[in-house]
Amino acid sequence: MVPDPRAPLGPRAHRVLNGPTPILVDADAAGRPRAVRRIGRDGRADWPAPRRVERVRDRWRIDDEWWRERPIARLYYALLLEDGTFLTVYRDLAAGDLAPDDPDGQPAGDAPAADSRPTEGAWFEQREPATTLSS
Amino acid sequence: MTWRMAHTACRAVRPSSWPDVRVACVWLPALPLRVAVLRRPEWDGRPLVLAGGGTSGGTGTAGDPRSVLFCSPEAARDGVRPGLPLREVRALCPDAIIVRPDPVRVAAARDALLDRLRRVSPSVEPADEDLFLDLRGLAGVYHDDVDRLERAIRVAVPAALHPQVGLAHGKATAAIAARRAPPVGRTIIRAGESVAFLAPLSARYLPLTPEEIGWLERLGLRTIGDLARLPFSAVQAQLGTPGAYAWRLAHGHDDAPIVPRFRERSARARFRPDDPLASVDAIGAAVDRLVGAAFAAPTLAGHAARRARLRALLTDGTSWEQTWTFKDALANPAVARRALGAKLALPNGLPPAPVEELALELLDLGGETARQPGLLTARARQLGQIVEVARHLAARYGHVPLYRAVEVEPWSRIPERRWALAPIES
Repeated sequence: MVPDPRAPLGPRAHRVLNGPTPILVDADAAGRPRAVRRIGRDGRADWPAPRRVERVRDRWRIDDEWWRERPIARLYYALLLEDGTFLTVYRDLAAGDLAPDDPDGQPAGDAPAADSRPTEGAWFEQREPATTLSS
Repeated sequence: MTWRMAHTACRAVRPSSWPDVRVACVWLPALPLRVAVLRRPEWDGRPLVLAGGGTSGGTGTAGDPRSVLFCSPEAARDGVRPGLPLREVRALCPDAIIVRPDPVRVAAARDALLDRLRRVSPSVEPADEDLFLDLRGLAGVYHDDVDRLERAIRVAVPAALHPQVGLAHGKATAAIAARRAPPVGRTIIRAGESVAFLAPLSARYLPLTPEEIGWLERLGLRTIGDLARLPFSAVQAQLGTPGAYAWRLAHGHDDAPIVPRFRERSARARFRPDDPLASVDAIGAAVDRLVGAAFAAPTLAGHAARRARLRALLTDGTSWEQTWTFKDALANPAVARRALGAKLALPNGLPPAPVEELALELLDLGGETARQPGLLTARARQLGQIVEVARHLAARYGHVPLYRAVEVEPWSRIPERRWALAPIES
């Protein structure tokens, strides 16, 4: 196992840009988002009500850093919400309880098919990279 | 020798005839103290001590507020000297009157003197305690009579300021002559007489620093003549440019030109409230009002100011003055209010006592500059401005909460690994 060589974050260290932020997602039995609700920095819901997912525009999976102690396994969804907002969210498959085995992110084994509770912690919103910013 | 005898004879016949001089120096010893005497005539002849502090700017009010900046001859006779702690003044001179810095009134007195002396000579240069008048071409104006010139100077300068007048071929010699002049009358050093005049005088009259004078005295060089006898190269090697200038002066070469200071174009506004302004908000409101009045002046039409001077007369009888130069010109009242507000909000940015009168002067007037950024240079300039802001924040708060986005792993499939926020180095 290769240890993480990064130094601890300090006031003068580099900070993460476009880091993922937790989001509340209401998923259907297949694990596809049906509604989402943003969470503020204080942990409370940022949006007054969940917003329905109008369409899943795209879906892809990333597996990386499998040699590290905490490998990365994410199932991304590019969503179009009912109010026209574009949102990119992912489910952290390496987080544990919701991590499926199959590469399409289907629930593993005999997982409850009708689990549609909003799940927190395993879902994250991924902001678009700031490609327009340059040094 | 023939010329010399003829010249002497001429002087004997017409002692006040126009001498072969180019410069008149009016020396005003201890001007801040004499300005205080103008306001309080009963202090004339009393031992006066000026405390340091306040602001500088040719008004003689810099230095440590707890020590003596300079003193009158009456106080000096009792042992008071510049640099002495104020607490020791009473022990040496129980009758001493401590005069607090009053930069506004002193500056006003200097400006008034300059205006009046410009009627004596059109070219006047102020320098510390001296005012130099260019006399070239003025012989006809004063009918070749130096007495008329001296009378004109003494009419322009109040006698209470104790002016002393020296005339010579050059500025430095005229300044030394003024210091050797009697209270009434003048000292005239003609072009050929300067070497003989300067030779027996103390080297302390030379325009050298106290350290350089001390070095000369340690070598036994106590008079200007002693210095003149040294080789030029030796003096220049030891004292550099000031030494070379002093050596040339000792040899009668005194040809520094007079650099006249003309009245600067400015927009002024003055406000005298019914009650003294004692709160920060009241002073801020008064400054806002002054800014509006200054920008309404025709002088500022189509112009912007790069410098602002705020002067205040305080209830304790002293005054306060601050001058700020701004990086960006003050082109309209809103910008000026914001810039001045920021300056007043700094530590020690406000007058130390309630304000009786406030005056604002906007200086360095120039054309209004456009702010259209260049197509290719705008970004570099923005970054330069941001770095400058970061430097100010670091100086004030100790850390810089400003970051810039930098590429870290642009090839990474993980979005948050591609970019990072790096602190802006100040």
